Amino acid sequence: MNLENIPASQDMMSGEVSSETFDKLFPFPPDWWKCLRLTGSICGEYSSQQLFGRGLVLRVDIEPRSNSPSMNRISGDFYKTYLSFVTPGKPPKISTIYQESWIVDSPSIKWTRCAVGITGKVRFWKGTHPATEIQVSIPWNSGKIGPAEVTFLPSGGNKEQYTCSLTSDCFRSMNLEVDVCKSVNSDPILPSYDTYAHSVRPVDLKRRTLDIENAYWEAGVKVDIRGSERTIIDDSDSKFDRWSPAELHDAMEQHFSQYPRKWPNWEMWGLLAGLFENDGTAGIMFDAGASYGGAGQPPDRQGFAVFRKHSWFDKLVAGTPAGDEQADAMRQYLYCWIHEAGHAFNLLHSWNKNRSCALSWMNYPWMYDQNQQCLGTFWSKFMMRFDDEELIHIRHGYLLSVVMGGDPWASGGHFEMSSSVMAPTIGEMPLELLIRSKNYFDLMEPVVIELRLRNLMDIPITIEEKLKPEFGNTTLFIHRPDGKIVEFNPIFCQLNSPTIKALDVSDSCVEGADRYSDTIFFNYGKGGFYFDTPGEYMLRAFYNANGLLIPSNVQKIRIGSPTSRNSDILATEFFTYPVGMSLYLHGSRSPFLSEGMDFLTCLAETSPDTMLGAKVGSRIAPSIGRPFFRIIGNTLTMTHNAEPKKALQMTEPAVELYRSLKGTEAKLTNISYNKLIRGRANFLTRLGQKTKAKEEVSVLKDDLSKRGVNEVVLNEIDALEKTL
Amino acid sequence: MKIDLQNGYSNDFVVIRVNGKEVFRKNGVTTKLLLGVADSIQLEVSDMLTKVDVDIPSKDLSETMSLRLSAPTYLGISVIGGQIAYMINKEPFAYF
Repeated sequence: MNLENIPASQDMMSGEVSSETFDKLFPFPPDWWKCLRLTGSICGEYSSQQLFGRGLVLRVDIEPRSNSPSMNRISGDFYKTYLSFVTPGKPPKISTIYQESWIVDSPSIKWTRCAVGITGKVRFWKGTHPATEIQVSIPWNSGKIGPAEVTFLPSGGNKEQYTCSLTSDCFRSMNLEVDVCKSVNSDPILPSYDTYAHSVRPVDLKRRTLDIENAYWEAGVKVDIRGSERTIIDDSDSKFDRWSPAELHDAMEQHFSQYPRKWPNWEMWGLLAGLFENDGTAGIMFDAGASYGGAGQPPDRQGFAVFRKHSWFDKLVAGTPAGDEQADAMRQYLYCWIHEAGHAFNLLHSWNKNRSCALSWMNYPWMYDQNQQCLGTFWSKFMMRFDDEELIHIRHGYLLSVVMGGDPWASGGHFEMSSSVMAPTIGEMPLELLIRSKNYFDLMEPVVIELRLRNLMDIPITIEEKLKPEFGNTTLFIHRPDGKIVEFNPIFCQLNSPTIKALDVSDSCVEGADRYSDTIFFNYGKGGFYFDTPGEYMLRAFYNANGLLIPSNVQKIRIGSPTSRNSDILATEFFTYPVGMSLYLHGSRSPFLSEGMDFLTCLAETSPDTMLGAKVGSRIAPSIGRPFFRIIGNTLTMTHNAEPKKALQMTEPAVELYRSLKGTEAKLTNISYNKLIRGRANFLTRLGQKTKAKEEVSVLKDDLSKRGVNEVVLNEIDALEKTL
Repeated sequence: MKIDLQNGYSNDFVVIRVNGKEVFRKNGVTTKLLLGVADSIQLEVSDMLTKVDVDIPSKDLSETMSLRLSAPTYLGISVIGGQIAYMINKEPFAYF
């Protein structure tokens, strides 16, 4: 106790001691006590608590966990939170959109008595960033840890600071829903293994009881097994004896309560089933591409199955195993559950990562034992954990390559260009943005998609009606066959006063009043042609207006290959600047683009009964149907008369084609058909043929009515008809 | 005897003969990464001394194994490091 700083005071001189002096002499709690970390490790997840704007989730992994080493890393995810004040008197809807992830591979750590300081270089998983340093300070006081003060220092940029509270002693958390087949519905359903039950084990293996939750807690993941109620799937049909991947996936779609939700998500489904089609298979994460042995379509990694009737589990008993045989069965059972869930975290087998001697949940014990390069036998060495690289992935990996329903299994493929592109949403969105289009387009055929906004609220909401990138409220990303992701950049940028449209509630008495659609042409822009290569593309759109950021679904389309040598040659003439600009501008009479217009006119005339010819004709007809002016000398002079008759001729094939379509293809062209007839009605009116215009609009209305188009749209067509 | 074609196959053409008799001929053999196995062949072999010839023309590889069978035998054949490797198990290989 240092008495030097204690002032001599009146009360001391009088022999009495004030409370202030007493506190200084005898601080409580004592300094050494204040910095005790009664609540244990500082490691885990910390979250900033911003109500809106950019937020941070921080993961600190610099101290060992029980039975699991520290990976000596910190990592984090950035989110953006939006508040939508759409219901008066009620709290705002909170939508959280993930932005990007980062990691510090080799942090410098300085421990003091009451705090730890962590610094290092930030490595962003995706996108381009300036070199960024991070400073983290985590204090502890009187048993409480944190908050963590985090500062990002980008080179040449402004620092960003966050205050993050400790929210979990784990780095990730996940819900696991387990269902059971009737034929195997008997205990033990889930594994529980005393690590000392089997006589063959590492000498330094710590004794504990491991189940799915504990094993993953040690790995740094909080697993909550959903409730105790399970779906019991009746597999008693005498004709059924084995599961295929497709049947497993179908069962998941039917029985996984979280399946209909938005993905990606920290939710997983596990099925205890009887036998797989290959009776050597004890378990399978079936939710992956078919070429890997899975069921096919993304999103991947949502579910797995364990096959109780596999010979490994013949000796499985409920309760304490008697002897090594029964212990081995339970040990294998636990291994299988943890291993399959590990695949859902996007972990490959150890040998597929060139770590065939890894002592990990992701290896095959028998493969280890047969490998002469591996020391000892698997079970005599295995400490019941993932290996370090796997722990780094699970704890600190790029979020979309870890979360269920994120990146496809084993691919690493995802939208890379911009961190906001993939942007899974968390929380309620006030609007749904949907991309709709056909799945296949011929090469050169203009790619036109429908964007539809739908109100998900229980009150009306207003939107900006101009759903086009030119107006700045819609962004489109294109994932090309070569793996690159590009943003569609329109040639023009248009500044407009807002055109506000109200979307009614979903149970409005007027069908379709809760939604609004428009079509987007984005074949050509500042980046040239966006669909000039055959192959598979993925499209994603974002609507950004009125303080909302609404991402769409991801739509896959395929662009076909040239069907002949001639069409291949044609393609080289098609994918040129004059053609692209002419298409973008809805045609042009400018002599600078005459080459493109001549080509497109010829294409429309020579291929009238193809979608390519029909779409090209309708695209450029507006320029033919209106006069064109150029500056000659200093005067704006009409160089081309409007030719509405020629425009009508040019669009006639498209009318025939749209009318002849049936089923889904017809529905996907409804908006284009609608716009085409409106344009033709305009031409016909200018030619003094109002009766014919009225007829065409009436036929349009009948056609669309038969196709099930909403009342709102039909009413608009009705109103147009009445003006004619 | 059961023969499992395990790791390292990628759209390969594989031919297997046991004691001179062709038992397997298939194109497009590919390891399912989720399980670590591509294909399986179940066969009855009575000879204690058994010769297994594996040809993978698509990789220009071939290998002959001479096995002494005393009990049900499980043979796993993989392509590792550009070579055919095999392992013998007394119990069925399990995949998961």
